[in-house]
Amino acid sequence: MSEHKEEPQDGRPYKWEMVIDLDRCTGCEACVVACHAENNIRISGEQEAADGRAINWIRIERYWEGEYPNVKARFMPVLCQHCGNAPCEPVCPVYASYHTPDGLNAQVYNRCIGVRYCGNNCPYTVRQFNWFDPHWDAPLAEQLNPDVTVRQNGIMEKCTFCVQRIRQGKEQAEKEGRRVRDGEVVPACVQSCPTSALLFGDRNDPTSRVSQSAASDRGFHLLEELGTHPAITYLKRLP
Amino acid sequence: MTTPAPAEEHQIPKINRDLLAPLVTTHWSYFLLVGALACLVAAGAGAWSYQFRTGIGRTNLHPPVFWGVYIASFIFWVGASHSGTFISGVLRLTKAEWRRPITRIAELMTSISLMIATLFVFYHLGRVWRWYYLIPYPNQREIWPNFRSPLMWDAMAVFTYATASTIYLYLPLIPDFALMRDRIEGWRKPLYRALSLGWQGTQQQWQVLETAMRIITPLIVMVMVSVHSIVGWDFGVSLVPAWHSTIFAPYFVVGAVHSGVGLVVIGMYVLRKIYHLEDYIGREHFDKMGKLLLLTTLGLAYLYFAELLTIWYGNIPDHRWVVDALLTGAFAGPFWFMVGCIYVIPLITLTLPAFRHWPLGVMFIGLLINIGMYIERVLLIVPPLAYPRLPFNWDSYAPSWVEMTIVVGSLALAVLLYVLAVKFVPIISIWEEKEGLVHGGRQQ
Amino acid sequence: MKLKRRTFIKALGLAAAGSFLPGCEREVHHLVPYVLPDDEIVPGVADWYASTCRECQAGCGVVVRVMEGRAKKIEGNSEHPLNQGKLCAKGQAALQGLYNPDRIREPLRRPEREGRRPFEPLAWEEALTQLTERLRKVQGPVIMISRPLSGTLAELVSTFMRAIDGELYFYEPGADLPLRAASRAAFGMDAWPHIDLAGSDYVLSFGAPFLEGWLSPVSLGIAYGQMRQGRPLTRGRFVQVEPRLSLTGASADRWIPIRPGTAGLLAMGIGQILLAERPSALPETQRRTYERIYGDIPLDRIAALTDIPREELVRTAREFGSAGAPLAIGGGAACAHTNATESLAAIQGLNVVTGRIGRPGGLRFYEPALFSGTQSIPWLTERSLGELAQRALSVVLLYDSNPLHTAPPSIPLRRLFEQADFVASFSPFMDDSTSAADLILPDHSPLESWGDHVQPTSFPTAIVSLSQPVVTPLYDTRAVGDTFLSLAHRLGLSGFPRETFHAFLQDRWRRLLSEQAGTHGEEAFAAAWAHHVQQGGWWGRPGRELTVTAAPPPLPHVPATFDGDDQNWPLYFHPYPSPSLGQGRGANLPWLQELPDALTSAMWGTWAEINPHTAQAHGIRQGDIVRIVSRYGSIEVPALYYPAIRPDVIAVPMGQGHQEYGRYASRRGVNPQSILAPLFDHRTGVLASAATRVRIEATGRPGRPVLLEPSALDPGHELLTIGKARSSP
Repeated sequence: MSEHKEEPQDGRPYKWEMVIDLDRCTGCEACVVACHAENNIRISGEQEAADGRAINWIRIERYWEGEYPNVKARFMPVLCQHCGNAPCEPVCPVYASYHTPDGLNAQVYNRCIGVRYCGNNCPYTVRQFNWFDPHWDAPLAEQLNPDVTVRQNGIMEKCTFCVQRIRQGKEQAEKEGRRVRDGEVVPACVQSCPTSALLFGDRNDPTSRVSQSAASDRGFHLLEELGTHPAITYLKRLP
Repeated sequence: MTTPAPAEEHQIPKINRDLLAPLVTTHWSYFLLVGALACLVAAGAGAWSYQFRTGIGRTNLHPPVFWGVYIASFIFWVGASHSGTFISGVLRLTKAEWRRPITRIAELMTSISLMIATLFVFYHLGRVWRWYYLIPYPNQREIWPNFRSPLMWDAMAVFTYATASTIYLYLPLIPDFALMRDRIEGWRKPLYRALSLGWQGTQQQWQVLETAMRIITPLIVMVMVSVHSIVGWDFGVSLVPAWHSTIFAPYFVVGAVHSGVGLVVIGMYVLRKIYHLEDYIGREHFDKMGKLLLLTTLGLAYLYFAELLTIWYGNIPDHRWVVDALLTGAFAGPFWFMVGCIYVIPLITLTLPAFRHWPLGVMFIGLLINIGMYIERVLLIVPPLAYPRLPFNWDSYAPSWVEMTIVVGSLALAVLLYVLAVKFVPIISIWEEKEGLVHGGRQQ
Repeated sequence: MKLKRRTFIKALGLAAAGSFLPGCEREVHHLVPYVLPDDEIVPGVADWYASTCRECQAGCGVVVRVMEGRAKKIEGNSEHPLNQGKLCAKGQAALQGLYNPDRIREPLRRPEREGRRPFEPLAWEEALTQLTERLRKVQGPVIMISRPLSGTLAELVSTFMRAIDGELYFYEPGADLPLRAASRAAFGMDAWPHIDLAGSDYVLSFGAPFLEGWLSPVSLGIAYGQMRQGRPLTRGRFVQVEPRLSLTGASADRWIPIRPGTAGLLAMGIGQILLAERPSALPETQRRTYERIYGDIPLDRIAALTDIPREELVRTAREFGSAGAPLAIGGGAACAHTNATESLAAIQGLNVVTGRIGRPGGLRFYEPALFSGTQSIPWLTERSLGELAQRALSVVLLYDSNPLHTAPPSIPLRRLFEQADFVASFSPFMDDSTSAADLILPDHSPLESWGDHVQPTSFPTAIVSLSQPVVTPLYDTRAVGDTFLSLAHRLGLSGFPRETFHAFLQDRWRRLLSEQAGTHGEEAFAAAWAHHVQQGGWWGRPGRELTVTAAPPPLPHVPATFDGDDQNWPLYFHPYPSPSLGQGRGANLPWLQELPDALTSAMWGTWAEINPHTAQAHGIRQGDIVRIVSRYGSIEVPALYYPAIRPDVIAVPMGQGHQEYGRYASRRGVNPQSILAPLFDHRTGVLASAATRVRIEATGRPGRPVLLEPSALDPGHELLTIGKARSSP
């Protein structure tokens, strides 16, 4: 355990959070492909997609407002909110859904037996289920990221905030005896976003960009009234 | 047990003869029925094996509807299991004499229903081959099940209930097993001998049995109330709009009794018809059961109305969407059909005393209630899930052929088990019937 | 064999376990793919290689994550000035082009033209010999149709074609040639301008799809983010003018649903107001020219023709005129009419009138980047393709271009392939056009080949990006540069001293670096080369900004013409490039097929977007199959109610409907091109894809569009989703 002693002297834990600026989001979906590529998300195919089973850890929800000709489309990227008080966690009978010390809402694939209560109880409908074993036409599977598990039939999955990147960043920082620098670790979606609508960082660091942006008076949480304490702060789109 | 009065003495051989008849004589159509049921069960097993091999995707479930007819069936069958405990438990407790010919029919239903209900948990699991993660067994990794999860409460409750109701079924069977041990020859004899636990009918044995019954009866009633409350809390404690409600626990209990009593009525009618038990199960029994059904209908309607009114008037959008979908939206068809089946028609018919004395009619109402209650279980689960809080994800659900085959196969299995049980235990408690003679609570 | 009891029990146990746990665990075939790893391969450790994205003309810098010899992910190169570490959906999905199961894996030839016999493989030597023989004994003209090339490959191919007296053409469907022509007309600049979106505070876009694959999508996306929220006190406003709200338009503050074909008219109206109400910085003579051109048509008439209320027109003009850094841009499907060039000239003229040319937040022109010697290579348009098809051609060479899918069949293009003596394709995929070839010499994936790239639009920094092979080639394919060098050697052409394209590329870079960076000598070059390969290209000095001196008068207005009268063909047909699949290029990548369209949430197919009122008037329910009929044919697609489209317009995304393009794209959806009339922008000849009028018929059959938003197919959907949207407060 000696290497854990080399954690930053201040001993503060990390608290990973995201900010999504709806005034910047253009619905380009670069984040969606980035997420698929990074996290070995299956290609569901037309049939499964038609059955409503296409797996997306991040999706762009579009809401229409008004009537023609004064109609507006609003985009909202929705991914796991990594709730501080997550409704999916207590309902899992086998502890497959649990909270990590640095604020992530984790899903233990090996433990999951597929009762799917977490999926029902998630008010954001971000949990995705593997209804069948995944399949990649050869040689598409060559692309799979070796740092991320391929999920088998019968288990629940969802956004991890690219936990494999966070771990790698933390290990690197530990080796060098420092905290993870702001912007050093970002999930794939944040990395790809052309308009920088997505920001990611440590909320326990008051100087991080994510902390500063989250303090914006445009900030709100999705379904805040449920008291789930999401780790994602949305910034309102201006009219 | 006190000795019967001489006046009734002559009836005892008749009781023995009548009630043991189903165990010793078998009509050819019985085998036909068993064969047909076995085919249905095999179809269900085949469908399950197909789902097991290829994936839970053989259901029509998809986000946001993660639970479907398997969970609905689970609730239905747990509900059905309340027949036994309610009829025999509550009626025993209140010393209602007319219960005597019905208790065994009901208790058998309890045990079989619970078995079937448990099966649905297995159908439902995504990785059923890891089902043992649900058991709190000591393991190297020191990982325990999560007792904060309502599903664990549920597993515990159902397990407790299954154990208790098996004991509850078994205890009053002991004297009958002893009777059969003495009267039935052949392969069953050693089995009855073992199961009768050396029952000789001594005064002391009767006292022990009665004490045991006196202890277990109130306990089982309490377990019954708690178990279905916990099933209700599976939903009630969640965040899902229109699940999140305090009324779910009592509602589930009353609903379970409603369908359970309906099921007993069906059982009573069928057994009475086939085994000519008109002397034991009379019209007044149907009258009493009809009154009971009337009571549960009113109770359930009251709770359902309270639930819908609260949501509708409260007008919280997330919850209103669900109610709107039920009353006027995508689910209005099944909803109003269900309302007809479980409230309107029973209310109209069962208030008429003449109707209640018509066994076929009451049986038909019981059937209607059970069909309605099954739809009600599905409607309880699916619409709230289909209308999650972010409307972009709204969807619907209808079961696939695999799901339906498994559901039908399981129903067939339940009936099959019942049909087989009839050949193994007397479907009317013989000693209780005799006891009834002594108490004189029943007119011939 | 004697079966021991212990063995038997073991076997029994295994068999039992196996039978009880079907499908639980899969056998592991490979842990590390190589028995003897390469020097560079350390299992479990990722290497990152810089390269250049070739999915569109922008040429963003990418880094490819490689582990154990396999490419794992494509990400933006954070050092690249163009895309600064960001990357769009298409660029990231390019990885599936490398590992696509339907790549052509070896040279193929078709034994006979007419027969149904499939292609048969042959060896490279034989394939090259066959093509050499053809080129040697050529009877008539040799032409090559290629996707727009740049950098060294463009030089190599154009030199080769010159040496064999052939003609090289670039062809890109939906090419923004009218935009270039308009720049020439409005400012005398034969280039695509740099749109300084980031510096603008009022963007008036006439259908420019700058957030969905137009010009340089990622850099424009970065600029858009800056424009909205990147400055402390200014939030840029954005108004989009187009008949159908596009993905770009969805981000606008205001949408003006203009009548198709009248974008230029609106610009004229706004110009009139600007000139009348504001003192102009323009020289008097130029001002008068603009007044004359813009004042040609009275404002009320413009309001009537564009179907925009006069008040809104005036309001927009005043907002534009009073903004600090207004910017007017145009393009895309909204300008795909027969008057595209004139319209765009009128739109760009607004920047002249407000004095925004060469200013921050306006349109800017920079000295073309190095090696941009591709300016002289002619571009094919759909009109010239049709003309080409009339000629008796001897040999047609085809590279990564699919005109049989991207041009409408009303242009008799198939003739070009049928009449030519010999057609050879270098494309890496079997697409609609390549499947008409006689010989296929498949190219490597871009991730397997060397190359460099100069982006065609103006950009403040001079950039020449480099591509390098990041994985060893998967199949028996050959980089197209190497193929051309082999052909040159076999034909005995002079001027091709190098054996490999890699060496050819280095030669040019040797020249570049000695001119630009003063790198002389082989050793210094080797170091510099390694550095630039590692970095992903050469850049550094800011490009010199060109001042627009010549100010030719803008083009006079020409009304758009349409195919079909408005009695029998009451609706405007509005095909538009799919944001994810483009004009079909991305359709063979499953990630892009499964990427939900952001506005309709549709995946894996084609749909028609229709105003709900129009749909109901025709008795078309949500999701029903609708038949769209033009004078040139009809298509059947599921209709999706789309609240943000004019009632007289029906829109269909392009990109699907391939006859041949691998398992994910073949015979999926429909190609809206198939009913387009052969009408062109009359100045440039680019297809006027929005100039066809159609009528629609309800078939009454329900379709099965694949949607991520399933409730959209509910009967009560409209009421529910529109009325109860609860996204952001």
